[in-house]
Amino acid sequence: MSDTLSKIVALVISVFLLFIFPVENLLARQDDITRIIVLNETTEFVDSVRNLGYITPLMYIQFRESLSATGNVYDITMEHIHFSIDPVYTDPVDMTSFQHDYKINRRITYTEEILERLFPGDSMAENNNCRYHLSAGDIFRVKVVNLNKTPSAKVQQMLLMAELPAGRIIVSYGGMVRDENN
Amino acid sequence: MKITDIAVLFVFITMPFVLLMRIKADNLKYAEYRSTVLNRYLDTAVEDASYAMTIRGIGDKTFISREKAVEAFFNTLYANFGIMHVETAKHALRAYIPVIAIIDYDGWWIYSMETYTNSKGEKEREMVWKPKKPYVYEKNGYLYIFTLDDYVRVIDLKTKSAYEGKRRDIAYILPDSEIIRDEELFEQVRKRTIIESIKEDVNAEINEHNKYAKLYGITYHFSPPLISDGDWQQNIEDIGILAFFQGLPLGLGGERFNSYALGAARIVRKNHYFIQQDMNGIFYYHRDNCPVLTAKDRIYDTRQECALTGAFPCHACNP
Repeated sequence: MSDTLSKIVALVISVFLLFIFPVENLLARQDDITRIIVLNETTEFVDSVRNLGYITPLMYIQFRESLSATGNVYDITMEHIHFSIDPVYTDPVDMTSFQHDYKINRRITYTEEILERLFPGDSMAENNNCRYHLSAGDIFRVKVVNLNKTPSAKVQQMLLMAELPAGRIIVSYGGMVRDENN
Repeated sequence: MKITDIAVLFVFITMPFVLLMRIKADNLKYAEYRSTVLNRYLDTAVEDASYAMTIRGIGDKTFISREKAVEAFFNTLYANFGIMHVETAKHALRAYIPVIAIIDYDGWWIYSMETYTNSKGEKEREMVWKPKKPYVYEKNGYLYIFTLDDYVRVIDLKTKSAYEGKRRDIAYILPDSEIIRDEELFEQVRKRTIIESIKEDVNAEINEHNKYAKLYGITYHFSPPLISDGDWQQNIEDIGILAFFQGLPLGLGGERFNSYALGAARIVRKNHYFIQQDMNGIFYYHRDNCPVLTAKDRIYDTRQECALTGAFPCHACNP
């Protein structure tokens, strides 16, 4: 009896060691590599936006495509903090109430609005000339999180028999916009 | 052999590979992190250099100080590496910078390693400024000397006479020159000339640097990085500084850092804003390319100036 039991235990341990552990390890490394690629692509996209001062539909599509080449689905959040320079009026309707002063206000634009500006039409030809402009001194940042469960997360879930959160590849990068172009 | 023995044997065999892979992945991660950090260092250094190199003189004239640019560039780099007071480390770091170029209004300078004989007759190796080179293009018996905007000098090689001025102004003097006549072609040739001449010079200097890098014990083979056309177009719009940083080892994985950065001093090209009254009588200020903008008669240089006249930022172009 005890012999059978030990055999079963031995079998379980060896299955774990021979199959599951190498697979899990391989997939975890794959996640590491993916993270590096995503970081690379994100810095490239953000840096080019910061240097150019605008986003074109093509830039965004290329960024998306290079991310999806890793085999995961990502949620890309963009954030544009614009420092708008507004004149000071005590009563905005009354032109004479101008205080001869200005204030710097922050206006934040998020992903949805930026994408609306980039892709207003349905066809690509309509969108080709669209650009989202940023001003020098603004802040632009991008956060990329994977939406699907990566293979390594799935294997770990199976092993731990617990629900794990999907977000494993989280990259956030941003900075000041250096230049503006037309 | 029992099944447990097989399992243990398997672990013994695979463990080294698993560990190796983990170490490799860690190295790769570290190298990636390092290169992001170094890129930031380089960007800041170039930004500081472009800020430091413009000097405002009498009568609102601006000058470019190459020495100040290089000084600011290296100081920021040293500060970021934490080697402000370590002479040997400074020396070692400089060897990873094969070339710095300053793109001026009417030509470019190259700062690179050179061997020369000093006054005592000894050979010296040092980073020096090479003479300024103009943006020259020759076609159909004309020699064009371009600048960063539409100001151009044309030399007729047959008659040996020179013409100088904005493209528009000299177009009627030189009716048989297609480049001067056609604005679009002029822009194309001008940009191409500037890009190609700087590119060629920089690439040659980087290749040349291999000779000196060996003396510093750097085994990296310096080769010009690929700079996309878009980047070049962007970079030649204004006076700026272009610096290359190559060959610094990143971690233990054998990866090397290879990057470049460009900072513009923003003198030639300026942004303009225009104020226009809308239908309700409210004043708004717009960007140059705003779709709402119709009359470009009230021009301002900064957004602050616009706001001080009481104008609001336009909602369409969001200046």
